Amino acid sequence: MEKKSTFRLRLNLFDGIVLVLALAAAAFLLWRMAKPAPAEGPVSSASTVRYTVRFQRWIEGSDHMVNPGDQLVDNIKNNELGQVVSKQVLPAVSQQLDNQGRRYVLATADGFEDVLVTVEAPCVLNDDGFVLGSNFALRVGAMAYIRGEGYMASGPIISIEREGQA
Amino acid sequence: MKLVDNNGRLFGKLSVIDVVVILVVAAMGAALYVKNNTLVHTSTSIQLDTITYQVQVNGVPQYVADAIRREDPLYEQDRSTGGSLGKIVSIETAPGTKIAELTDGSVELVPVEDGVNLLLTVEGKGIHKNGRYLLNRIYDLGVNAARTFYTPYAQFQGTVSAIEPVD
Repeated sequence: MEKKSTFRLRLNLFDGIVLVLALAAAAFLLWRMAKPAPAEGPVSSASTVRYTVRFQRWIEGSDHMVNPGDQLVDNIKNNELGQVVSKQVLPAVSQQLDNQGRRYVLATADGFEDVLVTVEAPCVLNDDGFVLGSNFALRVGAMAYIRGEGYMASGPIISIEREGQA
Repeated sequence: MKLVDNNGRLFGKLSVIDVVVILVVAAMGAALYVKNNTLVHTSTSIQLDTITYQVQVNGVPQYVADAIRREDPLYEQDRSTGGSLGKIVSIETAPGTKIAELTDGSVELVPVEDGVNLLLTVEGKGIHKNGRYLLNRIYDLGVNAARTFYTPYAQFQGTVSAIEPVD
């Protein structure tokens, strides 16, 4: 006599519990993947920023090398830092401790000059601030190490024009 | 009655595999409960407090002081992934001073030409529990913590001089 083969799905209680839990987990994951993202403002946006950097302690008279239109590059990570818009030459000063006067003073360095260079650069504006190139965070007070067209410079960022600011 | 019968069932009723599965599911459920309800850092049921703290910034150049404004968000240089540490709600300025080691062997706070002292009051969200202040749940902050802070426009060194929860 031929044995009749019949398939019969049998679930015991525990298999049922596991199945229900697995289905619930899968449904939850699908819901999380499919649900729309909450409405938010743009995380970042492309823009243009104008800032001023102080080239410190340049040899007197060498400021003639800096000209409007020069392309500046971050000397550490090769980020594009923008194009020179204008420059202003000032006496070179640095903060020194006056032991007799018991105070920090700005001392002038003879034979040197500081050059204030205003730069315009494309940037990405995100929650953290302005980013030039791929990862140069532009902030007042931060030091910049710069390569220009035939010259090198270092000094602090001293201003960033805010939106709506002259 | 045998503890495990020939079919691998405990007391002839429960499969060992089923028992293991139940234990694993129960352990996962317990872990989820502990994560969401008991652990301070990860709990979804804990209300974040408003925490106010002050940051003393000494002897910064005037141009840095000019670049720091009320309502600017404050971040910390080395740990920015957790988001802003709050918003600057007030800025007090005073003539600049900085610590100096003098040649007569003394160390003192001395005036700084063209320098400014700032006292920033910052309001942030976080957890205050067991004497710890955790901004954004994860960022430990306390009085005397010296950090490199930054806003979207400026960066500077500062030391936390006071911290307290807002009732």
